[in-house]
Amino acid sequence: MDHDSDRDVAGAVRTLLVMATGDGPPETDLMDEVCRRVRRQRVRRRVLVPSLATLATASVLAVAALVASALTGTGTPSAQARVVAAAGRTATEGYRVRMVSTKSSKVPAPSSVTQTTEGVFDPAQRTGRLWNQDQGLEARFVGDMVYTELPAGLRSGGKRWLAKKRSADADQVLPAFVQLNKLAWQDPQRALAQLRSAAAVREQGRASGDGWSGRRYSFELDDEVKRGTRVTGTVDVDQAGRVRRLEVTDRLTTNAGRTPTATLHIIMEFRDYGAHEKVSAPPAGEVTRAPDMPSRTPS
Amino acid sequence: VGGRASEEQDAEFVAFVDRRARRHVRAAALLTGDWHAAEDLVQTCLVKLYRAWPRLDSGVDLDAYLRRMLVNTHRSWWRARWRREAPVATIPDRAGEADSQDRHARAAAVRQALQSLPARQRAVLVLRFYEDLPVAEVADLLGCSAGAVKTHTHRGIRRLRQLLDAEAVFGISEEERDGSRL
Repeated sequence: MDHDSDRDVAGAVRTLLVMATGDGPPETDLMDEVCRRVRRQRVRRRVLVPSLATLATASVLAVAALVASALTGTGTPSAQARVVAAAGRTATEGYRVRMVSTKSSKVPAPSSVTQTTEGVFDPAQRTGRLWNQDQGLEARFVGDMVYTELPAGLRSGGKRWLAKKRSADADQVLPAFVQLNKLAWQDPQRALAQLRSAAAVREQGRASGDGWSGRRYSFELDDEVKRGTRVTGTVDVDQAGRVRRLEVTDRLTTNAGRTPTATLHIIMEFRDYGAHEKVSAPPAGEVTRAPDMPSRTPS
Repeated sequence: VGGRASEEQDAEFVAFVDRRARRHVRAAALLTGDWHAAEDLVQTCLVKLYRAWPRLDSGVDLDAYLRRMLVNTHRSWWRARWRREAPVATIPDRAGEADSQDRHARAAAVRQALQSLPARQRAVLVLRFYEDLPVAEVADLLGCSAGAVKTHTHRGIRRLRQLLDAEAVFGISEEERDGSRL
């Protein structure tokens, strides 16, 4: 048997073994079970010693309290790490998103406006499309460019679209809440990226929706410019570790935070992972370019 | 546990699981014979890895570290018998080529054939041909000699040939079978 035959056999066995792993089940989030087991081990260790030492006197309530304390403590892969990973994972495959935004204000007079936006994004191709059902307008994302459909009153010379370069850095100096509010409208993918700066992330329990189940986490945005604002929210992560729902409430207050003056509430629901839709730039003749704006970076 | 350092470690751990765990689940499916047991095995080892994570320095080959855990844990499960998979003596009928379930049937048939091998032979084949590890590394992982690895390889392949349609799978004629060495 020569070396070529050896290689043939080795190659055949490799092919065979790869074939044997070709029918894997739908991917589940391995981390869910890992977290549960880490918690269980922790509970066992904490409960076992006191329960043996004080077996005669320990009450059921005391043990229950101990268990509850262990379950809510740290020692598992942190909720923040789970959320950050989910945000990253969500940005790797196509999806559809529905955003409902409600802006309520108390000044100068009580008012409330709700808008609904639908979208489809393909992070791999760096394309996407958003359309606002209330205004009948559309935005297209193609590579580094975003093309926003102009309202009829602003169109001239057959120019229906406003083209602007998407800048990865231009908004970095804006406060987190401004970034999130803006990005939720303009670019859901980058809004998701804002979750990377989320703080005080805590697991809240089970969450489920149409065809998925997972865990819910609450968070606050880690905002260095928090004066007069408070941004809180929840994010639902499914068993495959992808973001399914993001709800954010931004309260603008005055009088050192005592009087709420305006609230922006955004719900983003992600679905149809794996979705693909071809999105192309509008015809060049219909596009006008936005003038270059000076940098916002402080000098 | 707490503080910034542990959060960064957690993030690194989750990122590693996100990036690499599925690869190890597939290898574990070959060792255990079914996907549920494979996920169970990998999750068990990930819990151990998480415990060890703060002690691991940046130079550690995490895949190799986890793989060693998988092999050892699977071996201890097998020895304890409490999760032992039932060996199968025969291969179920495969679905027709045109059947939409054909891919699943083929994969299941190969896994079942693997399950009929002694655990050591199965581990050697998976480590050598799925994980692409050299003989010396497989010997180190399994705690045996390089010669024993070669013997297990030879016998494992011979047994697979008996169980599966050798010519179709290996592309090797009957005459070539007995003389082959790896």
